[in-house]
Amino acid sequence: MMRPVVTEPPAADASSPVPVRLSWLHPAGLVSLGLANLALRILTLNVYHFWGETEVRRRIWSAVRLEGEPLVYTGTGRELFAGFLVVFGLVLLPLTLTGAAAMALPDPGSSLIRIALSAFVFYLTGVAVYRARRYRLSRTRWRGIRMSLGGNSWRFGWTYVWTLALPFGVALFGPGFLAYALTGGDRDAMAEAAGPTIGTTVLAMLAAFWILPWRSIKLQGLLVRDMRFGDRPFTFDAPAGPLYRRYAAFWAGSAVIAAWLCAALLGAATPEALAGLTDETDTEKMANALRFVVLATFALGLAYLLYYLVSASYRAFQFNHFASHTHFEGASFRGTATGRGLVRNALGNFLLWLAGFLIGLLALLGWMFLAGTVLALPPESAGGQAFLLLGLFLLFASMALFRPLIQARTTGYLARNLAIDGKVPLAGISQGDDHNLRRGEGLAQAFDVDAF
Amino acid sequence: MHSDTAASPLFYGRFSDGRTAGATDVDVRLGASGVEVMRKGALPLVWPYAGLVAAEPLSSYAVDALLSSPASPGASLFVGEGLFARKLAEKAPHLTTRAQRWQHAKPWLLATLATVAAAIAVWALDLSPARTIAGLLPDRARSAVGEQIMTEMSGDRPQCDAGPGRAALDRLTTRLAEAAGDNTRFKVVVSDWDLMNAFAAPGEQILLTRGLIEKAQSADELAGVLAHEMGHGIERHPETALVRAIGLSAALELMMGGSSGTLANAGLFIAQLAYSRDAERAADAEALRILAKAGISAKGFASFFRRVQKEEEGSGLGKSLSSLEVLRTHPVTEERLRVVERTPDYKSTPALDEKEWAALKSICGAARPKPDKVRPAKPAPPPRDI
Ligand SMILES: [Zn+2]
Repeated sequence: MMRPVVTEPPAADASSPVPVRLSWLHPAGLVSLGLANLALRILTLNVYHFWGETEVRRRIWSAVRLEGEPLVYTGTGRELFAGFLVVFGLVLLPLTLTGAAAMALPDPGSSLIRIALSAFVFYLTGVAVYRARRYRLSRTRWRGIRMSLGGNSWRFGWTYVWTLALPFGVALFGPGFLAYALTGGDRDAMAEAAGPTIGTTVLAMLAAFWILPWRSIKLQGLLVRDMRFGDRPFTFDAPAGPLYRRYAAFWAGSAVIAAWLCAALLGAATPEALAGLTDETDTEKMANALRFVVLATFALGLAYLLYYLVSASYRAFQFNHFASHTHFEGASFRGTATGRGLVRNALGNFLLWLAGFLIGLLALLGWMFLAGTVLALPPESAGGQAFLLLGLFLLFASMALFRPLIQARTTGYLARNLAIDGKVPLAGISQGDDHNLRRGEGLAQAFDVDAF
Repeated sequence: MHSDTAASPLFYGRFSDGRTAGATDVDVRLGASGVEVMRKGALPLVWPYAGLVAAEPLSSYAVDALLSSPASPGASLFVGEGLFARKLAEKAPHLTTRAQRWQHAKPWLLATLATVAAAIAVWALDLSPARTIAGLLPDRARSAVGEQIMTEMSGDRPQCDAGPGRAALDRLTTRLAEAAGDNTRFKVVVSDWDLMNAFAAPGEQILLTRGLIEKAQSADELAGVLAHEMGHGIERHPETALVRAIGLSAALELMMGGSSGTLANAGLFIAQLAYSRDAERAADAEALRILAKAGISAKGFASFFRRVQKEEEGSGLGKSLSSLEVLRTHPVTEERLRVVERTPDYKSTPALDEKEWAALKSICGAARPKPDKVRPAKPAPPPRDI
């Protein structure tokens, strides 16, 4: 059992750059981890979820190896749970209640409040993306050196909003202003052109779609440039040009799929089919409507599948493009992801999810059989409702049965298709000042949630 | 210090001091009191087993172990051998998967036990927290919520308010409300809707449909249905159902990590809910009390349901779903009917006189062509009660 001590070649200079090898060591025992998490989640009415998720992350982080040594995840279940409670109490609940209260108001006010709420939620989504990333990085170490994300999440949220809202706004209202200016201040011409006609809406869609590659580079740049390992920053210099060349093909493919979907839906949406949707007094009409709904669902599913296939090679290209323009010290990353690989990964993940879903469905049916037949609980009684609630929870929890495996497959695919070229002066990288950690103790860190 | 050299093999490890991202080769041994790290040209370190932290819990699948210790803050030690991990698990059992899961889950398992015990107690003692909260709601809040539900239920169907019909309905409402006592003020709205139904909303608000009024053969029959709905209102059943629906959605939302979205749809949820059999019995009892006090015969109440039920049994399916709706969500049980029919006779006068009844019958305007022509603009929400 003795192993000879490998003598390290004498280091010429302790801080001279060395190559760093990135690899993936697929973790074993993820299915039994999923089963244990499911059992404990059920027995603790879901609270264990946060600790289960933490154990999954500890395994997945450990599977990513640099020079054969694992990344370490230092986050805790307690942090995830506290973060969830804070966001649930201070964000989700107030927003939901405000939205519900707004429905009671008369219409112009009601709609305005709900639009404002949606915009705010969109902004918060951006903030959450950044904060989740910051949380994960600050809980990631390699050889004891911490990673961090040093920027401002509110500013990121704002960029997240305006890079989409501005092009949309210009496309929606631009024609009106243009008409107003060209006609020397004719308000009627402005009103005519500014209305959300089909033309301007299509224009808005086109504009919004063509902004996406630029936007993704902009957002990725913010995330990467704020990122540090110890005291050293990452840099990012991806040009948009190559992305746009690939995007053209993706966009054309999506346009064909969208056009086919519109044609299919409009073709099926005959007056007879639609009548049944609003009239529940006639069984024949309702059967027509049901047929329409089934057809529409099928068409939507098929369109999504095709879209996924078309988008996969673009997303793989984007991953590789981002990787090769991300630098750290003297090294760069190199991505080798392919559309085919992403599709294969997603397909496997879907099948795993489906298996969990079917198991959950069986559990739900068994549970309801127990409630209805064995215990004879009337469905409208409080006991029956509580039983149904627990059954839905059973289904929901079972759907996550293979989640550890799914997460590991996805991370593994990306890690196996990412390499580091060049050399990094590892011994010269130090922990750096702890500004990120000290600030972290305040309320701001409480919002660094990653529980969703 | 290292007396048990023979007992424990040497392992090869990589040691990082935590000050830089560099690492050095070390020899590692599982000593008597801790992990011993032997660095070249430095004193050996001993990391006591008790305080050790492992990057991932030690499982039987482990192929390596990455450790840190409060004895050397910031430092970490990586040993890439499964045997080391398994030997370490024997020495430091708190690092194993099983121990860590138990440590994290234990407080919550106990909390769950307490919750389940509390729920069983609530159920066994027949307490109703939802009902208690419903009783505490201020009147203004109940009315505001009720109005919103009434609006949502009737969709964009017009309200029926033809002058003489409205006056007759008001007279009937007042007569019943006075008998109900407690100065409760009921708001009764008629919706121009083929569907035959009636339901109570929070804040003593009641919605009757045109279909129901057309189906009733006498004012006494309508009075029975109205008194039953008033019974629900007096017992605060709609408020209780609402509070329960919100509570259940919040619980579901919490259990599903804020991703179920049911809280936002609590309104939708309550529209689906029916009252329990107990609630129906309570509303019936309340209705019989009101009718007796008002001097209106309870016979109409019973005959109405008898007739609707019989007609439904006789007719083929699919002809008219609208009257089926009433019984689909709320089967009128034989037991309920018998209780009502067994009510002893008392001195009574008709709920309304012939003229008033005729006016009420046409509260939605003159008789109109049979349904199907009038198409509601929205899918009708499922009715929840009679
Ligand atoms: Zn009822």
